Amino acid sequence: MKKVLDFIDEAFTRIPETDRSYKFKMQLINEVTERANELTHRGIKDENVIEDLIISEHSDIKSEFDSVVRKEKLAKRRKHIVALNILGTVAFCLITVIAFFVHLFKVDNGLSWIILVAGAFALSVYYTFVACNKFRKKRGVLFHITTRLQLAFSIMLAFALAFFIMLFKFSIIHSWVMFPAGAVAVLICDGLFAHFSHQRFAVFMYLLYIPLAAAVIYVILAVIGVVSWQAGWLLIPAALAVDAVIVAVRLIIGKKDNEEVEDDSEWNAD
Amino acid sequence: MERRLKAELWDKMHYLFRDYNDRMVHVELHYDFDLNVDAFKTVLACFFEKAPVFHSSFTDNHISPYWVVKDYNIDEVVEVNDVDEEDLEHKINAFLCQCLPPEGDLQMKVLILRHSGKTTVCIIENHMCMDGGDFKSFLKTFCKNYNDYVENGVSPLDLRTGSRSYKSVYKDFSKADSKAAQNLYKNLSVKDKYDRRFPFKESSDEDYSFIARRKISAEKFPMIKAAGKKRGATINDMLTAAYFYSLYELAGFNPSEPATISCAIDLRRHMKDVSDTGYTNQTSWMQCRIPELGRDIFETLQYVVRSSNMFKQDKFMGLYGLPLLSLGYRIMPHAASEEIIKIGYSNPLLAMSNIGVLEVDKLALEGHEPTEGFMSGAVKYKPFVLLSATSMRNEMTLSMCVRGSDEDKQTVNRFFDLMEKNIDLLIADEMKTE
Repeated sequence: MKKVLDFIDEAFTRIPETDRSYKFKMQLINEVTERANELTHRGIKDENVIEDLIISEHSDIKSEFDSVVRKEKLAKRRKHIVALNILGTVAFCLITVIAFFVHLFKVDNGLSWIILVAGAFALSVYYTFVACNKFRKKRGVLFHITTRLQLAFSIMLAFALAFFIMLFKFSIIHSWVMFPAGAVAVLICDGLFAHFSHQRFAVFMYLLYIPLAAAVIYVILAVIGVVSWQAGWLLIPAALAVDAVIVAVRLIIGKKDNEEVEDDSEWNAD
Repeated sequence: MERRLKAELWDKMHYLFRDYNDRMVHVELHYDFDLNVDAFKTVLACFFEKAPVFHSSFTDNHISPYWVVKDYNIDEVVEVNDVDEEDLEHKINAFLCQCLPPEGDLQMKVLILRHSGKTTVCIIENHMCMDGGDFKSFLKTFCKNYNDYVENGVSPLDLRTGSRSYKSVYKDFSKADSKAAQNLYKNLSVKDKYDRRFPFKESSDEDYSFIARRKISAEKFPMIKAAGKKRGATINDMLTAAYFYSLYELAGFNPSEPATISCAIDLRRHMKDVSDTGYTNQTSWMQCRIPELGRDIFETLQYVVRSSNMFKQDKFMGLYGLPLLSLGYRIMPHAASEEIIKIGYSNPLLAMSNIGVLEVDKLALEGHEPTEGFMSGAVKYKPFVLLSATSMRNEMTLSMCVRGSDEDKQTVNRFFDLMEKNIDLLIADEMKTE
């Protein structure tokens, strides 16, 4: 093992001497000793080969050390984030409850509960975001499905909150339109998400979402009297026309791409 | 903690092929000297350390399968036996016809047979780990490392390592081509309505795995090449034409009806440099279709040349359907994607794999070139067949690995007789000139 130990010593001349680097060096020596035993057990009898193999597995000890330090920092940061989340949640809950009581005793217009509901909504949105983000990092799922669900959930929660405020604070009769409006917002945001995250099938989403959103918008506008039921339906064929334009544009772009590919004669020259 | 390796697309696909074949790739090499077994084991152990997939166990997780790296001892991988000449063939066949389960701890096994101062090396490996193309490269690297180790004491560590992903195939394309290739969702694995099958008997309990082989003498190889050149055909085209012609004759297909043979193509043709990739599978199929048998074998050859040229003109040859497979495996849990892919995938009933030349100079150990040898694909389950072709010192070996009965073995041998006869027809002019 002399060759490996010399190699480690030589590599550590390029790493500043600290407690952490010393600990890492000791760990590394243990690791390579274990590895040497493992290789012997696996049937490699030539010590020189074992040493060369181990050295080839640790060709850049400095980078290994940097990577370990980086990982430790990241783990520490994660711990801090968890602690911050817990503390932040407690503080947020306290502030919400205090605000609720202050409003209850000072204003007392029967709407203080909205503060509690809004607080709960805000926490739900935040923790959905945290949970989805964690799940998404673990496994790449087509269309970042968890992110999209989180986005839809958050939007619907926001619109539900708006519904409560409009209904109880301002007593607006058509407050319920916030729910279909929320659905339209979900479709729009999902389409935009697909576009900006360069999803391969984004175009199919636009094609589906545009007429759907148009139909819901037609109902909303007709209910609140902005457009008449008789004329408003034109929104739907208009949406289909937009779809047709999108298809045409995509076909033109696709054709152009294909031509570019065919013109690439470098490959054919091979 | 157990070490896991990602199961790549082709690993999963070859696992899916368990319904069609035993997934083993076989190689047999004969040397006229006693090789250094200890050195052989040392080199192989180093290669196993560099490419841990060879000592891993495949876990068929229903959501996402993976490999688990396992402990091993090189003596479990390499078996060494001293045998008499008369036992040699039996020992070789018994070893080559075994199947290594992917759930087992080892994905490669070697048998070294020492007999009268000579050595025969037989290797089997799981096709899920690498295909014939990479296996050939693995063997050449092995021999180089063995020689450097035995002759100069250089540690045998010079093995390619890197990504095993199917996506490596796109890495040397231009940006536009890469984008276009990754959008080839067309499924080319379409079921042939004529359902042409090799004339095997029905499966029975008495079926066993066997490797039938036939050698085509070295004198004929340059003639095949020359005859092909005259007609604008490659050796592969010549063999395919003989394959078609023999099959029509053997199975009694209607000569006026079409037939299709799938020829394996190495997707590494799209890669300029594979030195940064790991050992893996990069093989696809090219469907060679003839509209009818043709009046004579030369017309059949014309049809074959026309069909294969059509494929070769396509710069994305063999890349169709890969994005679709990848999508299938990504969007669904593995158990579901397997079922869906099985519906869309049609395993070729008749296939051919021209593994190519086994270069003796690169397979030489301690200055001794192999005297003979061959490589072949997996043992296919009826009704599927794969004809493998390799050549060494111009001597071509045709082989067919089948799980069948003695009658099936006779059928395969009759097929080889016809192949020989038809190859002779193809090179008749060259033979006359000689």
